[in-house]
Amino acid sequence: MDTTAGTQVPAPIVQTSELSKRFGAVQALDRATLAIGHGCTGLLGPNGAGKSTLIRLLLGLLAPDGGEARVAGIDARRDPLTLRAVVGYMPEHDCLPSDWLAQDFVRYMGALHGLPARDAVQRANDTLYHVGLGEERFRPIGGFSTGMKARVKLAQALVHDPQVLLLDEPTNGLDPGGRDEMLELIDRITHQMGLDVILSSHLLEDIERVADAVVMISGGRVLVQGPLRELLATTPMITVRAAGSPDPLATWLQGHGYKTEANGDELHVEYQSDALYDAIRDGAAETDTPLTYLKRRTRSLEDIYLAGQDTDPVVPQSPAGTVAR
Amino acid sequence: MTKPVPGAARIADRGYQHYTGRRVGGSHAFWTLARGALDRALGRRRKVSLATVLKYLAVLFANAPIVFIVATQTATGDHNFSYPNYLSAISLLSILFAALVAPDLLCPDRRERVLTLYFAAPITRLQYLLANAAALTALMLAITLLPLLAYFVGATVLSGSALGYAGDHKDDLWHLLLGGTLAAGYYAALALLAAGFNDRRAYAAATFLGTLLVSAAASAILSQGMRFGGHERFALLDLLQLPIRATRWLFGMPPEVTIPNGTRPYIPTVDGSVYLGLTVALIVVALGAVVWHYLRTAD
Repeated sequence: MDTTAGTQVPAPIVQTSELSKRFGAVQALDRATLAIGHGCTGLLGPNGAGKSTLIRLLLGLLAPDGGEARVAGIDARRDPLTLRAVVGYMPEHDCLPSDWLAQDFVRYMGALHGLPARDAVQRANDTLYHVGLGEERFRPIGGFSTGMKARVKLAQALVHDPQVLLLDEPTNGLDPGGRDEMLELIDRITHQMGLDVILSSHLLEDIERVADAVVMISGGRVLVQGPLRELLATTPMITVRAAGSPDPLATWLQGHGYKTEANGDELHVEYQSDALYDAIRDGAAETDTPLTYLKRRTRSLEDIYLAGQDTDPVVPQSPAGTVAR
Repeated sequence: MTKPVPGAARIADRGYQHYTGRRVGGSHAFWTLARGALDRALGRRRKVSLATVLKYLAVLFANAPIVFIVATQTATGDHNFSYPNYLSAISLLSILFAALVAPDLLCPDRRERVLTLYFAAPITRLQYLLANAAALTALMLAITLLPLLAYFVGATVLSGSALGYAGDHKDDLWHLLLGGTLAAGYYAALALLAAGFNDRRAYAAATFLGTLLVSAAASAILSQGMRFGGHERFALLDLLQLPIRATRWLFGMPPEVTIPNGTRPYIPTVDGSVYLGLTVALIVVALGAVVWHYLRTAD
């Protein structure tokens, strides 16, 4: 724990500083500076944003062109083998040997991560049970469904009881039911098993559902990072729709000191206090604007993501994903 | 005896337990890889396939004749046996075995992209390759060394004077150990080279077998069928017989096999040490190429 001004702030589980990686003409990661705390942190960005590159840099599988990365306090560049012993990794793509039994493979991965033979067997059985493959563990992986294979990938990442779990697009290719179950599992891993998870995804809903914090990446740049609660609560809004044009109402509200933002036939008004409801009522009456819809809304991840692309990186005070333990 | 308390037994879900046991270091990971490779090569805990059956048959056919030879020689008293010639006689079994095993070790891991997971564990690419090379070489010894050793042990035990025989033939022992190991390492290295650059097992096996057999045929044609100056030197092209010729030289025999019909007198033109040097060089180059390939390509 780091002690700052008399209060204990948990040390970030992942920390990068000016981390950069270029592949030929493509700047995959551009001076990424991150601080990820405990809990589940979503690594959000479109395909090709640099998420997988960041994960591979965090695992020490790639050497950065500049900057540094530390995971669980271990320098990824200087001591990658020690680091990989305490990190679990679930890749995005298919990567399982089809002719192995699930239990054999998970046991083998446990042994590769430093578990003694007997413990590896025990841990493989336990882990497969926890991911819901207790009964199927003695079947060849080649006969498994996509969802079951995803669970085996998760089990092999969990078997050695890592401090940090890096999940790269874990719901990719799963049907809605399988996706739901996978997200439930990830939620359980974080909030019941107590492991720190970094969940890479291009799906906003996945991140919103299980993550405590988010790091948004686009074009290799970190756009936004911080605890979801802080980010989503930054600027709550009230959305107003009118039967006609909302412009007169917008003008009236602006005249009374409220910030508004037009979005087609919708008007978003920045919420500061409940007095805004009275102001909207009065403004609608005075400008003769019949209201058809009025609802308070917080910013969605999509709003933050879109806003982040146009502005400088947003870095809240606390590290992303700081969850009390 | 304690009386069971009604209702006391219950199933308890302990939930997820953190691992608090011992964690072992890098050499453990290496041996895990090597053992895993042996299991895969021997088809342990997998469905029996034709390839697995052929592997076992190759080992059997390479070793079984030794029992017959030792028994016959004991009965007849004729102890004429050439270790290099036996190695040459089973060379096709050796390369068949290597062609079946090496692709099993490397190709599926790359084709099914399992390397991504292996290299996310605390192991290096070099460790992975060395473990597989060690496993393959160890298995190859069952063909290239075990029968030679079995003959030596058999002949020693049945000679009537074991100590005397062992003393008289102690040079044979280290020559056969060196020759058998050299052949195992050589065939393993070339088979790994083929497997390291092919994702499909069949292509890797065909590349390895094809290269060795074509080189043997080409070498025979050029070195024995031609009459231009220095044609004998093309014997060096024979990748199949290279370690065997080196072994012949170790045993003090001429490296090239004499032409059977005797129409042309044998004139050794290439020193045996060249065969040995070339064999070792090819082992180094083949393993180096595989390592280079694995280090430069992403998983």
